[in-house]
Amino acid sequence: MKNRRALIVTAVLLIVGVLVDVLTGADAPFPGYAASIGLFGCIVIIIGSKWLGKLFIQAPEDYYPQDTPPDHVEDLRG
Amino acid sequence: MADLVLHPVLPFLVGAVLVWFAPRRVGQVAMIVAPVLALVQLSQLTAGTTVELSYLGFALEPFRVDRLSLAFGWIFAIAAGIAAVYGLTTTKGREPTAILSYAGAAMGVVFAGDLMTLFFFWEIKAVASTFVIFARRGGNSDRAGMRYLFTHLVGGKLLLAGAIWQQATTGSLLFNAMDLSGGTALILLAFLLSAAVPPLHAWLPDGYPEASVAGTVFLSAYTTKAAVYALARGFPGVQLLVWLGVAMALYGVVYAVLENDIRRLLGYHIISQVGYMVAAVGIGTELAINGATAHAFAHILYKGLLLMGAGAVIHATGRSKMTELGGIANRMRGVLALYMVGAVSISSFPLFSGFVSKELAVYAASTDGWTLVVILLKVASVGTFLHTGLKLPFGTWFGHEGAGPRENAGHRLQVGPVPMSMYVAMGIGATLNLAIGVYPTLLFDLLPHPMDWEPYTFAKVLEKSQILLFTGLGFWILLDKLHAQPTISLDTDWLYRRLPKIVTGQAAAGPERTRTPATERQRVGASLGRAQLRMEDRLPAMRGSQPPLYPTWVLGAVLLATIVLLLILTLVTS
Repeated sequence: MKNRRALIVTAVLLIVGVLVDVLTGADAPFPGYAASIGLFGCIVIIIGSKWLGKLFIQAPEDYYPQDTPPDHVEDLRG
Repeated sequence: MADLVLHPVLPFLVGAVLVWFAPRRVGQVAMIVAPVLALVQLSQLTAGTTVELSYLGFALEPFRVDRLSLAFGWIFAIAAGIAAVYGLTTTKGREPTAILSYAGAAMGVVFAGDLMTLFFFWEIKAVASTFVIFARRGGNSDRAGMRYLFTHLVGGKLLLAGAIWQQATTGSLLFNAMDLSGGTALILLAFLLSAAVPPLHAWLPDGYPEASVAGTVFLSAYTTKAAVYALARGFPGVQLLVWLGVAMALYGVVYAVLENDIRRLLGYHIISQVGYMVAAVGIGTELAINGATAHAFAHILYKGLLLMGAGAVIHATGRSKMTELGGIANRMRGVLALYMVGAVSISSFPLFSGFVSKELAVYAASTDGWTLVVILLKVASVGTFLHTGLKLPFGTWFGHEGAGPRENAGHRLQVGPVPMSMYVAMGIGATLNLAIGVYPTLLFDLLPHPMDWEPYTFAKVLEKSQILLFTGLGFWILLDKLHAQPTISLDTDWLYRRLPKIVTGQAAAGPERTRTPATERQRVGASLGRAQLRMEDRLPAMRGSQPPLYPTWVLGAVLLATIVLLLILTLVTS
């Protein structure tokens, strides 16, 4: 259900973004420039980083032996 | 010479000695008084003041004041004051000495007029900051501190080698804008390491989150920003820096998506934000240097505030991972509100400090014709809001459980009290962020070059608001993908933490190398081993301590690196 709702909200907001740029005569390369940087930048960053993370960046917490055990073992308040 | 009395390093170094010997109460007062005295000194200094002296036949300038160094001096002193208030009740043991020496050394770097003085304070800064990390005495602070020291010692040696080379080729040690050549390339490399430019950056996310809650706030202010100052002084307009800066800005953002530890996430965002400053230094126009300085100034304020907020959570709950946190918003409303001031500042919401400084840096790039750089920096700023403004507060205070109960009873996480001093420090930080956002002239008057630029035009505010709004939309759409995962992220520190073990075949053995038992060493019968044992007997406290505090390997490696460097140097210059 969220997918459908998200699609509608995105479409409406994008149209509003373009209209605002057109109506205010914003100094941008094309109408909707700022909106696309925000939306597509955000999506590319999340998907791209997650992909890189899976590829080689993420490792289990005990990857480096002798590092601190996870929080539930050691309370950091000391 | 008389001007040396006004050197802002003095109150810090005197304070550092004082807090070592004085009772805790006196030490607490000294922690606050030292930055205040430095601020008084700064108000008395005028650009153009210099102190020159001759040492071993070298013409030195241990104290030089101009508008660039003054701007950094002001923010360094302000940051020390705020962070000292924050740590009033939590700093313990020898931590205050390390902290004041560290802040003082950073001040010394900023007012150094020659490379020898610069190197002198640079090294004190590296060693003192290592002890700031050690001072937590828990978690991974000992091992991470040694790795931190190791990388910074290498950086320091690069700086020294570069300085000597520079003296040999030009006959002068004065620290001014330099052209790229063999010697200055080494100096540049040292500055890049200290500014945490990938791939020389791993010490930052590795070391900073391992310090105490107040220690991390201090660390976030000085090392990278002193390096930005040094770059702005020595290498303005080096175009390589523009692209390195852009790469930094994006690199930090990518890692922040994957990070689970809240202070490490903010550490990656230091790298991202310093990227703007490095890029601006690379552009090198007066406007860009102003942008780099302004952004360093604002960054110290809002990043300090963010780390103070994260530190308050760790202090109150004992947890630092988002997978362990959540459901505490109702019990930490004050901290959340103050953190969010920092978050909207770093995300450059209009009326907050980041808007003024980041837009200035980006504007400087656009007026100089760097279109692609401008776009990439704007995309990086999307990531900043996404992580520090949305993901981190969501994961830390809300998570799956929402805002959580108002009382501790029955909840898996017990939230302890947050000291009033922490609230006061965060309050000061939040006020300054807002003040600069609302009245940017406060900041512009401190910048090195004259400013004629209006941050609040309709077009800029509209564009920024749209970018932020649509970032929020993207966050909402992809929220399911943004829940923190209990993993760590492998970074370039893998090269010195894991690769050597793989090469030497120890990786499969599991736990890291432990010390050979003393008896076994004795059986080997080497006279060196016996001498070592005798030394251990004289130092009973060392017996049984682990390799990090018993640094044979590190010491050997650093010495070897130094010898190799010296050898290369003598060969090249002869």
